[in-house]
Amino acid sequence: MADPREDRMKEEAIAWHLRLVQGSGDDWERFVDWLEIDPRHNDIYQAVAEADADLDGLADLLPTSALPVLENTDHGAMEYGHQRSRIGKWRARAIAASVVLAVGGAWISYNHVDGRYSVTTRPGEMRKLALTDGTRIALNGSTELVLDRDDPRQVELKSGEALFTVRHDKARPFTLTVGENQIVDVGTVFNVLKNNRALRVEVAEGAVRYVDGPVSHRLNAGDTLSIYGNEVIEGHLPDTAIGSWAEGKLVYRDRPLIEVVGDISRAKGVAIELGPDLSLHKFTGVIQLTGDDETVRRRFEQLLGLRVTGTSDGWSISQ
Amino acid sequence: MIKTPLRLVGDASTRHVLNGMPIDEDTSPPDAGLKQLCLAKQDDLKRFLLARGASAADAEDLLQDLYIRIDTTVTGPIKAPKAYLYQMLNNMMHTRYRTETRRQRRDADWIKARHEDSEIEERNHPENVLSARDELMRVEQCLHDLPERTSFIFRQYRIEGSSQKDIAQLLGVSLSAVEKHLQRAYKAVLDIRRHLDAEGMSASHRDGGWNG
Repeated sequence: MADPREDRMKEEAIAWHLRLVQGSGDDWERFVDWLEIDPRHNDIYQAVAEADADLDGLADLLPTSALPVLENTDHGAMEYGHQRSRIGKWRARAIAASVVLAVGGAWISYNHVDGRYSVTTRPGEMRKLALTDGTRIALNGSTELVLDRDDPRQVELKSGEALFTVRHDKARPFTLTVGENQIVDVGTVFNVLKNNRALRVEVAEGAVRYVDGPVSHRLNAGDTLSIYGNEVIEGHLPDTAIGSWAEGKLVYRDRPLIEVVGDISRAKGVAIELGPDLSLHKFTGVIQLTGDDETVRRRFEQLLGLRVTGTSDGWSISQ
Repeated sequence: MIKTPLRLVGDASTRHVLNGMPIDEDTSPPDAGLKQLCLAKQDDLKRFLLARGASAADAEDLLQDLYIRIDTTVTGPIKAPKAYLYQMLNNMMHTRYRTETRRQRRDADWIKARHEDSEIEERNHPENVLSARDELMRVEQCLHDLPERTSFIFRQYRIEGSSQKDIAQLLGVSLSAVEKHLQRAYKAVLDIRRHLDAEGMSASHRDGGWNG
């Protein structure tokens, strides 16, 4: 154990194990050279690889066998509302209230007078829309969007979160109305979140103009704008992080837990209760939303380093 | 968008050791080229297998196997064909080690339940679940004892499957810094494994041949 030579071999073996994940052909050839130096190299490398492989089995180990194993963990399936077939008992109760309104898939209501109609998603339901102008919209859970059949370039976000991939047309700019404000695209992919506390705009590609009465802000790729009442906060995010929920992934850098929890709750349709003093707890990391609720719960628990327990109607997070 | 590294799908029992391989549409060669490369590189590949502990006869078998597998498992063009071949052989070696140790375990009749060939049944057996949990708790504890950043990076890498590059970008640190943290974490994991093996309680105890 105290043999420094052996420690070095161990370090080298780990370095190879890490490098070979994306190793080039030349890397592999150098690896062979290394293996041939000392027969113990192969033994140690094998031990590293197996220790690593075992972590996989451990991470997959479900604490209970209550959840059926379903291959349907593909996030894409969520957009068709299939997920109700694979929910746990408490989950069913958690969404029961919202199911009253929704009958299979998103709730769509038409106003026959002026061609406007709204699309609503349940908590935990994701839905993708393609407009006739080529614009694509991904709706996160608990979202209400108002579209106009006669003018696909005018959209209103009533509440919730949506990711817009806009086909740019200089003559007819795409305009998103949120409350009193307008977001006008300049050729772009952007994400908008509106809840009762704040409005948040994040630009993944291109640029948008955020119009607030006489004032207009231009946001470029990676820029974010948060509006809490009269307070406007500008920020920046890695553009890969923006709208990543649409790919089943949430990315955070130093965000308060209350925001993280809101996102997960919306995306998975799970009520989440935060313990005392935790709402401002900062979180940095990537959370995968794929998999059933129990899988996500365990993953989240491991990432947070806090206790996340299933309760009768959702999750509860505590120290 | 951040991409999870692609995972090759092959033998189910080796999936956990399969590493991400870049597969890209605008690069060649297709299958025929891969086979050609396999033949051209035969000696190098054999050298690799011997260095990985295969016997000369086994190495021949494995190369034959590889050649056949190219037909059945490769569906798209491969970006780094040479690395791909090595990777496949490495995975096959991992399977060999696993199968071999499982056989030894059966022969030793170590625990009755381990007669089961199916990994799932093995895993669900109460005794195994218990010690696997125990092991997980030990690993958890060991991760907990690491510096916060090291533990964070390791979780992102190993649990979330983020690439080293993505982690570096997320934290605004260099790639080599990320590697250093991972190096430390793996070392700790390896140490705990050796402790567990020494106590003979590891859920996945095997004769790795390395008793250091």
